[in-house]
Amino acid sequence: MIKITVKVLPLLMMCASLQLRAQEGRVTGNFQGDFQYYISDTTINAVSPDERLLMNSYANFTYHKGNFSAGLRYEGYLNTLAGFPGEVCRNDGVGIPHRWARFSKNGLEITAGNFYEQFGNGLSLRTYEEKNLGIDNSLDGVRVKYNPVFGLNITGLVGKQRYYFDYGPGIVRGFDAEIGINDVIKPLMDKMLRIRLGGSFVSKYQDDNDPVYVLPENVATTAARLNVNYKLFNLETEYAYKINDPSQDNNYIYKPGQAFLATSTYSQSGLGILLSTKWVDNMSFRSDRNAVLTDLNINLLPEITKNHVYTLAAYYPYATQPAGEWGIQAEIFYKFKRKTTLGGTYGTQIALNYARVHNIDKTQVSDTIPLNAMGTDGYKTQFFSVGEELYFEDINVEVSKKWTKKFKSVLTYQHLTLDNNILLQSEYHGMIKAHIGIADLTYKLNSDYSISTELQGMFTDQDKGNWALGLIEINAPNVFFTIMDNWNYGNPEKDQRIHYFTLGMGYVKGGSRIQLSYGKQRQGVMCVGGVCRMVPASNGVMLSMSSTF
Amino acid sequence: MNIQKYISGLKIIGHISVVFMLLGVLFNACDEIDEPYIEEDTVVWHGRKILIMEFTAHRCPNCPEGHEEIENLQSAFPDAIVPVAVHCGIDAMPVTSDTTEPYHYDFTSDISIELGGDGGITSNGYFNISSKPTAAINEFAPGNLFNVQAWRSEVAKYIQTYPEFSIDIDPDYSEQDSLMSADVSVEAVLDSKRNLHLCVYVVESNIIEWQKTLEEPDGVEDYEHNHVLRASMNGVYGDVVSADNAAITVGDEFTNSYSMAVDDQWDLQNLHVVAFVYDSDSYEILQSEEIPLFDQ
Repeated sequence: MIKITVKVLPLLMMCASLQLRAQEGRVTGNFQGDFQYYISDTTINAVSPDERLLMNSYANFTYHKGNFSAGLRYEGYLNTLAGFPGEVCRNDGVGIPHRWARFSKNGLEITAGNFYEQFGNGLSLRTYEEKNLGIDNSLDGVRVKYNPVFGLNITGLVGKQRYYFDYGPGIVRGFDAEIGINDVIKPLMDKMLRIRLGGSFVSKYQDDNDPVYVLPENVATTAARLNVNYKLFNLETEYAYKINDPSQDNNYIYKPGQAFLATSTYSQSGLGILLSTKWVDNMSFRSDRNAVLTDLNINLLPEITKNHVYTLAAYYPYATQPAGEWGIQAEIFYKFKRKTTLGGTYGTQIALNYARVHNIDKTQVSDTIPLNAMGTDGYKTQFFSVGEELYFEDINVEVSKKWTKKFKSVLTYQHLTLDNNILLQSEYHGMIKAHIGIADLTYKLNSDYSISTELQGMFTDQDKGNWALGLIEINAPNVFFTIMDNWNYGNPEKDQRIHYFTLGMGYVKGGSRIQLSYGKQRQGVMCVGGVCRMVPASNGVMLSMSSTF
Repeated sequence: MNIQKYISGLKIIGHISVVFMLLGVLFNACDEIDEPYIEEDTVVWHGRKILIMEFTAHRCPNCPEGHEEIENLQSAFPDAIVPVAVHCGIDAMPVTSDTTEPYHYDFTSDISIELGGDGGITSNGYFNISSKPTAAINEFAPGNLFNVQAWRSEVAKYIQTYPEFSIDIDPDYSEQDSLMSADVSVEAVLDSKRNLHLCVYVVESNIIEWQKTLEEPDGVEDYEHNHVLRASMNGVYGDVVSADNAAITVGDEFTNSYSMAVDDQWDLQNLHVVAFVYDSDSYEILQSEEIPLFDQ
């Protein structure tokens, strides 16, 4: 574990304010700091922490010179903002948990230290950083990338995963190779049909200290992928298989895991079509078999539902179920041309999206062993089986239209169905059905000033009932102001029909941004890419700063 | 067709060969575990609770041996043992009504005599008890009684098997009318076709009274009596939960509510509700559960 004292912080901050261009190299970097002052608010069950003020901050510094580069990231959590992972204060403190050096020469690239990597779609390995979720599962070790000939890329790595300011107990070893068929076979170089093949193998090692179960110490996932491109059509598929990996996630069953992903797209001017499907069976893969929540994931099972950006559309996000799920998604984007009946003067864009996720079929391994019983093979299933339980369904349509030179609108309708016994987005038990309507209107006053408003409504008979949201944002050169009210006017409990008011303002100049807001934040769930964290209710002042150089 | 003419050199084949060799090496770097998945000589409890219906008496000097074995089993398998002490037979009867004298306390009840008899004065009870200590282990049938030395091996038969049902007990007490109640739900964990009965009993622990022992033939005055069967909330043999060999599927739930008057001799703080579900054809007790009337 590498930590520095808080005394180093001012020095690093000073560095962040300068753009250093050493004579023989170049330094780049960025800084982000999020500060929140909490106020206890019994109406929303918001509790102020003992510290009152909490902070998450990061500063990246990267040095480049020729084929060589090196970098580090200072991180400070004093203490960690409420709702971010890291139980028992594991994430609190300051330090430099991320540092690396890299050089490349003759098709060879070697990285020592911390690095992020993704093999294929991530079914076998994806280490990444997502600050909004408090995730950083980077590997600390050595990675070698080699490009011996054009069209063939090979990657090998060994490392331990970052676990807040420490390391997870496991060691991760990975290997990936990808070949572009058209690149290495000369007669195929000019063909419209282009094919890429890839394969990866990722293995983790963790001691078996369990007195009861015989646990595998080396667990491997292997994946194969195919990418076919023909003119405007593209198809990406990947299949992954994991050997027995009893873990907290799967209740310590010994069944192997599988995952399959296929995404096809067709795009031409004004038209885009996406079809994708995913099938997952016991495919959680972590470098610590006892880890939970967002800790120490080696792979990432990509989401197959739309990641909504509007507040109420994202109220019930979908969380990937590594234990088993089947899903499909279809999306059509079409642009009605200018000067047509539906296109009007400036054209009209319409996006229709549908996603549906079910459980997979599971049957008992024998008459006397319940499903998913610890220390057994867990269950039996057929590849690509689809269960009868609906986990999630989202149908939504978004129409974007510019009416005049000064006025444009985005109108959205969404219908959601989700099984909250599985997705656990709130304390409500059972199925939730919701209709959501959103109008996003922007009026440009002149070339410098504009005013935007969002009117959102969510209508449901379940959970906390109906919500309404109103937002006004005024944009001026370098500054913006926002006022928002998120009102739970349909809560079945009358005293919980609360207004969540927020006032905010920001200043943007060059690569720097500072934003100040005050208000209430409702309790909820935030998901990015199917990975989620709980957001506790809070009331207070939030200051966010970022800068790049 | 000479493929090498078109491929950018033999070295690609070389590189691909290295890739496959590396993959081959890596494929061997994983441990595929075959059954059994449990370390040798290890006992794993999967949640099936074992009901020990122990037949005992306060003037039976051998009976503390049974009480001790129950404690040993509870230590060896925490949470897995549900004991019910059925005081029965002549040596369970009080010898005097003088509360200052030893063995005045009456541990028997209608249900304990029904199950264990009165020592042959009128009957030996449903379980045909002729000697003590003895116990029925996870069976609600006469004829399969075991002496203390066999209890552990009988428990071992069931301890690693999976429960077919889970039982949830939600007890309550109304001070106003001295009524205790319990909502009992039985949920299927495995698919089956069975005829089922559910029994809901009340037991009391921490009763400090006289008990004869081998070491103290006259008895120990402050002996702690536990799990003493007091009454049933739904009859000695319980209610029918499922009949006609109806198919029971995972997730099926059977819920009943019971209530009964509390005897003023009982200490409410030491009362527990015991529920068990048994197959009324094979008499095997498939799951049992115990919960204190008040949170401890």
